[in-house]
Amino acid sequence: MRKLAMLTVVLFLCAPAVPVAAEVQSPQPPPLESYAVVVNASNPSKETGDAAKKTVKALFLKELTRWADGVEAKPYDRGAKAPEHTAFLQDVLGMSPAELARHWLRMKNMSGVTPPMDVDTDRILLRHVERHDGAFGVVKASAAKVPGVRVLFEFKAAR
Amino acid sequence: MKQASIVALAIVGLPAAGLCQDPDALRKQVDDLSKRVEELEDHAAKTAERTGGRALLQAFSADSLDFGGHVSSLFTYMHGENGSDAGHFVTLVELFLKAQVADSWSVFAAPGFYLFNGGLLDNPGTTTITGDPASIEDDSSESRMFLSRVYSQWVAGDWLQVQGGIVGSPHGTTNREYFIPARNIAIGNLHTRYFLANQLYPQQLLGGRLSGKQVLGEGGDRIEYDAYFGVEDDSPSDGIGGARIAYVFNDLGLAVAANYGRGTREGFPSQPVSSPTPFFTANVPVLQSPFTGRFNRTRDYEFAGIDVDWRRGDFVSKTEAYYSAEEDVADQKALSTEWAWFFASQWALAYRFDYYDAGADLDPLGLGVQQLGHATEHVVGLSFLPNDAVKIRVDVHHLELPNTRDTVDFVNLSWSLSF
Repeated sequence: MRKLAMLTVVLFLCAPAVPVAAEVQSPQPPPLESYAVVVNASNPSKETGDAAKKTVKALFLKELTRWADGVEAKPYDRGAKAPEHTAFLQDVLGMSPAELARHWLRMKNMSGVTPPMDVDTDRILLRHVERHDGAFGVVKASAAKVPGVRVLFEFKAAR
Repeated sequence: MKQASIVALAIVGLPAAGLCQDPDALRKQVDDLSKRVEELEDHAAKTAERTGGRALLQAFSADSLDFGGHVSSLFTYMHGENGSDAGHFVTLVELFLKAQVADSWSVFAAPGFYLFNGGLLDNPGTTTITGDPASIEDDSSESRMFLSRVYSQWVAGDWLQVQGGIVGSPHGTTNREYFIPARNIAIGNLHTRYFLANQLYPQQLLGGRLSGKQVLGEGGDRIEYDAYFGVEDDSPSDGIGGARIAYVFNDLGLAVAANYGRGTREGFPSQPVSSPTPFFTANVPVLQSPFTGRFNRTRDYEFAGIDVDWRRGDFVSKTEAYYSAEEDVADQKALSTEWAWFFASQWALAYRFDYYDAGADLDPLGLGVQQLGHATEHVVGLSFLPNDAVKIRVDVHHLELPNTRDTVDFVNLSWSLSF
């Protein structure tokens, strides 16, 4: 009888631990991917935070064409379905895909301005950025640390 | 001998040391290289799909060459008096060519082709006859080629860009966008409805244009300016000039601009009163406007106006108000406000109200001054954008004609394909 009572107490104490353990074992959402806007290593821009985002947005949308030091900006985009593009659209541009499409339609028809060139991979984009002084684009943060390129700022993908 | 042995050992030993590397590290290197090769193969395949077996375009001495354009067609149905109907069909093709010839130099050209077919509304020839206009079958066909933009551009920076050639004027909201695929309502507002004309302000000119923008502070607000001077193609002896200065509230997506301009509007050549068919009649609906695109009387003008462009997410609002002081005749006034809501990623609903008082002009026979009066128009439009290159629109227009209470209702079905 005493053994039964002890077993009951043990079971009682353990019971709440079962769901907790289940919670611990439940699949966690994957960590948010970090992305980096990279520029050529010679780019002297010192802007950070929102100011840097606003500058990059204006240059990417070609509302402005020069960095603060006068070097012509050369933006690169990723494919429309690339996660880098989606994250950049949400976090830096703050636009929907349809809004971006309308922007380029308007720019083309107002002044013959074309959208930035699409680049398929991080490596090729980094190569372009390394080769051109005013170039910039977005890559996975983990891929950004290469010679000739520096990170202007990092951001995380919105869920 | 001892030294030679060491070298031999090193030669034999180094690859062996490599082979003795951690197999996991080697596997990672191989995987990494395989991934890079795959990326390059994908890239090569994509490039090959784009170029195929064709030769790539050579751009002579240009650094780069952009080629694009649009095809826009518009079918109109108008309902007139006594159940009479009329329709017309307009097709416009414009090609965009932009060559970057050096770091700061580029050339842009937009040759265009225009084709009109259909019947016209027949409004009473004088403004004193009342009654809604009847539609008549007046089979007409007109085609023409035109150059709406041809200019070379030099860029000193965002603060200064210089264009010379056939350039667009910076005034107004619809006029600034000019090319039809960008529009939510296919035809321009009443005071810019005539293609490339100078009704209240010039839409284009032969001359030079300076433009620039300057960012103010970290918020991204900026000042934009434009100034131009030139002539119109049909009156090369009369100079026209103007300027626009705008303040852009970056965070709000709002631009507010002040405009000014002056010049001379060349009238139609004088004609004998006995002429059986005057060169041009006034106050007769031609296509979709109750006014002509050109006045009978040559006059100097001086205009001022404001335009407001507000873009916030899925809403776009464009408003402009202008006043033009006309020499020796009544002044012109215009107001246009357009609101568009992109209620789904592929759909937009737009409304526009236009008011345009065209002032006065010589009557068609040159016998006296005729008050042209004012017209108003309400337009409701629905746009469908199945993809980034195609826009299909249906616009319903309710136009109140000047000097009478007569109205014209018409529907425009239009589509633009741009590339």
